[in-house]
Amino acid sequence: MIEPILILQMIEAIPIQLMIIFAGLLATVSFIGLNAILLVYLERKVAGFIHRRPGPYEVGPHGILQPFADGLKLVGKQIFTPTGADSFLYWLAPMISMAPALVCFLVIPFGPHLQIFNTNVGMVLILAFTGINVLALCIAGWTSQNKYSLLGAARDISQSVAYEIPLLLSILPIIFMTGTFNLFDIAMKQGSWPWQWFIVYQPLAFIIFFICALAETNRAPFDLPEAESELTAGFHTEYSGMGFALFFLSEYAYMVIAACVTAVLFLGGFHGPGVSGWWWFLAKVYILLLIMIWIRWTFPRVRFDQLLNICWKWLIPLAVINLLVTLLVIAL
Amino acid sequence: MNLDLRLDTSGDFYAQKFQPTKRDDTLILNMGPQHPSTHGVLRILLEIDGEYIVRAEPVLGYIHRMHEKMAEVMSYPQYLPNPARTDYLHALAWGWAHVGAVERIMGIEVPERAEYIRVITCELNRINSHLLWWGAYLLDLGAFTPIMYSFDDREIIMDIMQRITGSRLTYCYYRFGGVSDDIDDRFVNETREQCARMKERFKMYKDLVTDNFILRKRVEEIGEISVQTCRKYGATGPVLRGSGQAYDVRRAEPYSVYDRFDFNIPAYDTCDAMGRYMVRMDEMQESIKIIEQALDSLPQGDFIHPKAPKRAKPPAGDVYFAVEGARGKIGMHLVSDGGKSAYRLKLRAPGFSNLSLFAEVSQGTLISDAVSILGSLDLVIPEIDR
Amino acid sequence: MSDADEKSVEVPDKEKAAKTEESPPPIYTGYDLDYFVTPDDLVEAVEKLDQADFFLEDISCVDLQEGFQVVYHFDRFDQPGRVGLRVMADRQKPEIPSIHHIFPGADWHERECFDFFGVIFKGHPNLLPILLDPDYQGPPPLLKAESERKGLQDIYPDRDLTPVDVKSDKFVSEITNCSNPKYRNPL
Repeated sequence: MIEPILILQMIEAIPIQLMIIFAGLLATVSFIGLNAILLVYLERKVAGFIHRRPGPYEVGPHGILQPFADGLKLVGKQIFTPTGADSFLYWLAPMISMAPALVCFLVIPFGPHLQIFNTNVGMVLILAFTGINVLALCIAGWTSQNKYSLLGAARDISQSVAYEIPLLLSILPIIFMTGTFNLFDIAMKQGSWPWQWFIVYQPLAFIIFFICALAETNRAPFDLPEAESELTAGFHTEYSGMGFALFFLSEYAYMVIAACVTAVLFLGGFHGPGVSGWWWFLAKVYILLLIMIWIRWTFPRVRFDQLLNICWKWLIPLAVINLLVTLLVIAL
Repeated sequence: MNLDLRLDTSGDFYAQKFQPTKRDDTLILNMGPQHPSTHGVLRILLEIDGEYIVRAEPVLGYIHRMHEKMAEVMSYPQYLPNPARTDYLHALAWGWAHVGAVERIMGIEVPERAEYIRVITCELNRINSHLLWWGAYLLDLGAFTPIMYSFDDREIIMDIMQRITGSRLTYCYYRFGGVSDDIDDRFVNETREQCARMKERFKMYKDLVTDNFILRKRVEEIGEISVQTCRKYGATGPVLRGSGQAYDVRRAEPYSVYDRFDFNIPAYDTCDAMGRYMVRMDEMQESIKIIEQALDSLPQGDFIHPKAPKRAKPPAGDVYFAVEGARGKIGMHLVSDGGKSAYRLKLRAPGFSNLSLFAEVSQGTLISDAVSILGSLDLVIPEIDR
Repeated sequence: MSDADEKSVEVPDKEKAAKTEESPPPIYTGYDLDYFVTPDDLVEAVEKLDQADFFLEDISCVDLQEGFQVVYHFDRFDQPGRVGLRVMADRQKPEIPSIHHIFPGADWHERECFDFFGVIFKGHPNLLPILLDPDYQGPPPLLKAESERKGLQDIYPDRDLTPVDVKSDKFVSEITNCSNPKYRNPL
């Protein structure tokens, strides 16, 4: 029988940082879950609006229970492994895809007092962990024992690797201007009014970053790894039930991360006219997400070689020039 | 774990015939018969090097129903609904090819009003077919929204047609010597309204889709088909006109009252998918021109010849009758022995000839381009498989 | 030899046309030229048509008492006019030379003919079933029963069945000048 006082002592023995991270992870999971529910509904409603149809309308008033119905369906579906697939790696892939997304939320400053883990390497941490997603998609495509999945994985690797470069190059000017990788400090360096945000100083970097973010999150018009009309569903062709749902969730999570990072780097983070706070942050994030959804339902998909051409022939040179000009201005 | 995805020894008859070439860095990909962009049950065996196509071979027959045998066991009126089931998108043109062949071999006269009604309904149906193609093609290219807009327009046309013909897709409206029911003022007014509406919509389509930068990059200089290739493979319709040859059966072998209307035959000599795209977009506008002219000069009279035979029994002989369908030249070779059902009825499906050039054209293209080429050929698989 | 006269368009009397018991003879066959060709001459005839810029519409086949009548339909883009080539294949040994090397589009049409009637096209590289199931066992589906088969005379009563001489200048000039009388220049 352990004395209650002993338990308290044991809890005190755990470092406070670890407890914050643990609580933060729990909060992040619920945040991602809630966001996914909201985004699924939002995406379908916005798509409906663009298509001039009502969108989900049957489940609940104005279809607001549709995401729950979708979730239930996915949970209830049979889970199976294709013949000849490596079942360990096959089921590891969706988890590898999902786990880094959780960590990334830890360092994002949602508000002046709402950041789970303030660290000097916040930006680097996000870049490092989002990079792991490529590995997950690669494993998923490779182990599915399906040629379409394999092609999807091959596309994903070359796409992600290529777009990582302009993405970094478009972040660097901000880093040089602020002199820190700390996301909180970057947000604090910007003022409340839109003309005090970095988008005014770095419009080109913002556009490059946003395009790269679309490509990195595999959103249309760069959704080539899962191009449905060419590769049926690309890397997740064989996944069913929760395996598919995890990929789906992580895609939305990475979308939110991309929008969060854009908001912090270029749009002043939690700053806004009037009282700054998490509400401004969420508003900016959701406007960016809406733009992503809008783009998805408007444009045709680009071709694979065109996608790489955009990256190597346009984005990288432009990002380099932008970086050089920024350095020149800072040096002067 | 079997990592050698190259040799598929467990494949079926066609997969085993389609063995890889001597190269050891290629992959055999089985595209279809269940694939989002083969529009039904077309199957294509591809040998790919990375994403480049080395060899392609379409495999047909997954929705083969032997319409030609049915023609031999059914009497002529019984066969009337069948042609609509081959090409469900331009059902009326197929129906027309059938009744036209029988009318010609029997010498049945068609009243003028019936000819005008046929022209109006057939052209409405052509617009419908092209609209669906437009939406589906953009879907192939990854744009989801256009198909919703095109269905918006199709819905109105289908409502108009439904009142007159009694069906929405697989029409069985034409009879030997006329049509099954007369059109009324409401039909005329609704059609005029829809024509006016469509003209506005085409402007929007142009702004939203045709001028889109990404779309142009996806269709321009893709799948170039020369006129000579078309001739060697017998490709007709928008595929041929997209190669710059203004050949249209409505002009070349004028049937019905098409020679009375003033319309252009759009042709683009870019020979690529964009040419075929533009031909279809222009053809819809030409169809509207024809419909409006026909409505303006719609004569009074019978909608079916009063002495049209109920039980057709053509004399012995054979006849070949061709009409212009949305996908090209629809031909019917009817051989009659004087009995009450055809001795032999051969259906010429335009898609059959159009698809046969795919193997040649797709060589050396990317998978994405192959999807784009397939879409630009406007395939309706039930028509190809008959 | 040719049926160039048949297509002359004359509208029959209304009363005559409406009679169901005794219909009038066909007035429009859709053929501007129509020839019987021997299997040996086929390739040469098709080559001549190819030189005259014709395209292959389709290959039809009719099962008759005398054997299989394979009908090739050709048409032209610039100067429309349909040419029919009729080849009789022997029932016991239905072999016809393939024209796939002249018109690659004939490939699938020949396979279809092989599928439905069992006509063998000599020289075809890939004579496999195209529309039917490759596992299908049994006779070709469009073969007629012995009792239902009609002869050439039943279907083409007043028709000269002698094959055309494809080497003659007459044949060449006829196909070169072939055109549909209804055809007019595009506006």
